[in-house]
Amino acid sequence: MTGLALTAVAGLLIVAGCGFFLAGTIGLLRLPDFYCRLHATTKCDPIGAVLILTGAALLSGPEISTIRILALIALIVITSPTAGHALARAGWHAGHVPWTREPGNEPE
Amino acid sequence: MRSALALVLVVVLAALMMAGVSQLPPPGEADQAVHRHVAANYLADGVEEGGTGNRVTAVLLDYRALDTYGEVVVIFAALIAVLLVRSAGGPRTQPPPRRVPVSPVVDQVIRLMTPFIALFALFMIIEGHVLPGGGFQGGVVLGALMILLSLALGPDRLRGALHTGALFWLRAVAPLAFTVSALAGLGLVGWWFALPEPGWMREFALVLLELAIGFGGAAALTGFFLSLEEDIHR
Repeated sequence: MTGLALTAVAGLLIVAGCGFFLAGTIGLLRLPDFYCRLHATTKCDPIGAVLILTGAALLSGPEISTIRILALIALIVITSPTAGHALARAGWHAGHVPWTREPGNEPE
Repeated sequence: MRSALALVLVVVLAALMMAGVSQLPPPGEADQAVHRHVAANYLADGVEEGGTGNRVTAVLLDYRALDTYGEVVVIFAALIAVLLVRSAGGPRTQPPPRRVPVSPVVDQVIRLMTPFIALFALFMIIEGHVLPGGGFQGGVVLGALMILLSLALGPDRLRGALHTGALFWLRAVAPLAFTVSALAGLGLVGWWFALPEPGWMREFALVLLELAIGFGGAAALTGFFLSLEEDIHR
């Protein structure tokens, strides 16, 4: 891949990652209940940050820092979904009822 | 009404801050008061006198060791206060509530990540006198790992381990180490907190101090968590 194409792909990855962060943040602010907001925000790190870091790894090329970026990606892919899972599980065991459109079940 | 009050408050605070910021000297100007006092000496002699290439560490553990002493004493005093308030309530009256079992996913991931987190914390503590980082930061990472483990394994296993033998004294290790450093400097060199003479001895003393700050901070953080956790369930 030529340098220009590589830069373009890396830029697209980074912009796409920022898009996931934007969507996740809007979801955190606008969605009605705990589970929906968690659903939105857990897309930020595992997808958004990994896309941005992949773009950064492409830009940095064959360097020692690229290995660090790959290690960061592995860390995020392992820990972030686990945190989301633990939060949802804790919410369920604490008795949070998922929001529905039925009357009498207003968002918090 | 409330938003009008908030607006007035924001405008007043912003005006105060802008007034303060507008009086700041231009960045990088060498003849300002803050740069003419002791900073030049730190930059010139910090590596030689501080025993490390990192001048921030030289300020933290040598030139301003008394301030750092105060900081570790504050952390220790906070732990003592929490323990005192906790013990004033008497022993636990109700049986501990039923715990939600930790999910197998979380359990496996914690087991997988624990060695890496511990290694990172130790790296921050031991390399802290050369690189950015140090005892305080590494100690917080280590304490967070302890809290994570107590959430995964149940706090009673950790509580049992931390209340026995030498680990009990870990909470006080940072103030104790600084006291020893102050007295050793006074006795061996002639002034408080002076580091011993050959360069490698200075570096060794710095590593010991960072280790004391790190492990003392981690033990204090774990102590906070265990006390408050016990308190919730009473």
